[in-house]
Amino acid sequence: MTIDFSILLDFYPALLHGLYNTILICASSLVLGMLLGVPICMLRMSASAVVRFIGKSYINVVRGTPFLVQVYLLYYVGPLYGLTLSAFACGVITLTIFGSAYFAEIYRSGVESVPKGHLEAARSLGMSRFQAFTRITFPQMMALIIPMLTNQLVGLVKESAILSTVTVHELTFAGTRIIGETFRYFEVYIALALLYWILNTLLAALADKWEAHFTKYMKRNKRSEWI
Amino acid sequence: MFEFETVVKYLPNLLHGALLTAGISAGAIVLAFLGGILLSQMRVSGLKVLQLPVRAYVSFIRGVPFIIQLFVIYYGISLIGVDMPTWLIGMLALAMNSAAYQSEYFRAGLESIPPGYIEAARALDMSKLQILLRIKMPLVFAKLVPPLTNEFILVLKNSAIVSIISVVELLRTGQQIITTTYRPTEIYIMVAAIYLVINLGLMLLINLYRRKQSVWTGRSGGDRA
Repeated sequence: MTIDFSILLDFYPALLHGLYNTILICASSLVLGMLLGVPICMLRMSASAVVRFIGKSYINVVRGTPFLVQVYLLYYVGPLYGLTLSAFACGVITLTIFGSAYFAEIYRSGVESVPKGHLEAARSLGMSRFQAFTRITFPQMMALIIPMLTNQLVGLVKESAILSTVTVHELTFAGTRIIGETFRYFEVYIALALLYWILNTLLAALADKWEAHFTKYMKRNKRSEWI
Repeated sequence: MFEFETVVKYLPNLLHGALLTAGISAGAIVLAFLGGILLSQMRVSGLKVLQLPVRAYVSFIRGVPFIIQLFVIYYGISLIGVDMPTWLIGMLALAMNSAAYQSEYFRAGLESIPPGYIEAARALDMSKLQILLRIKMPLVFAKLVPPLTNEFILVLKNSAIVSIISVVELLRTGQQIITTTYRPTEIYIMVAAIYLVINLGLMLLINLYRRKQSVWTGRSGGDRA
């Protein structure tokens, strides 16, 4: 069999549509996962040992099992208990749950990276706990966690390819359908690889800019040291 | 609703599948370890001809979903006309994936070695290979035990994807049992539990090592796995 990439020209609208769905799924589960990660991080960092254990168990179960198994559990076991979801919804939900455990741990590492003294100082200046968080902890932890959040986002995009196994119409699934028509396995998978690579590289580049925005104050501080 | 009989009856089959999962992952991690050392040596060689391909390779592996990498290798191999058992293809794909990540760990580890150590070794007339084996690798390895164990967890989780090219590992075994029993609840939960137990065991090992290491170095260990 010879390799011929020209057949892809006939199918690029299908690939672009798949790419669009991949982006849509990842963007929604990024937002939902980051939101869900907040209460889970709060559970994980709670003062009560029981609550902490619940948070930690959730994180360990999600991080200790393959994403593919989680997808199968929701997609094949869920309907037996009345949880009938469209493939798309199932994809977004599993990816959200998957991401939330990682986001919770990222938030925790961010909060823990801020020296306790900063928080004590803020509290002794009469700031409320909320103020101390939004003005002292949050800006400092953002600088640290943005690279981790970016990595996680790239991770979500990569995991989303697995959703093709439960017929979610994303990029990989679009590729599989093209293969069904053309039997050009190698060419299509190379094209998919390139598309994912471009998407992830773009995301990483965007995130670098975002990080630069949040670490600006650090550079300013450095300069003021010299003055 | 949850039938324990099914679980008990098919547990030996699942454990058999888990053995293959563990075997493929262990083989992949060892291959990737060797590949990672090679790649990291190319990366720090200072020669552009060696550096650029490694950078492109690492970027490709990190930017592309594992499932696509697996398919590219699977169909690539059949395109060349080589006949290989699917478990070996799965193991190779896992190894090629992990080698890229491991090479980055090694590179970071190599770069963290104080240059004085290397100069001292050279002053003692050690050859380049001796320096690599006796100075660099032990130092890097001591530091890398936790991330490498973590990498093993990642490989184990990725190995579930290998079931798609019909390697009868843990997940695939579970699916086969489901087609005969139609008890997806019990079987999928068992499959998830087995993965979880293996991975929690590994996480525990990382924490033990960290605690022990913190005794050596006087630094605090802590749970970061």
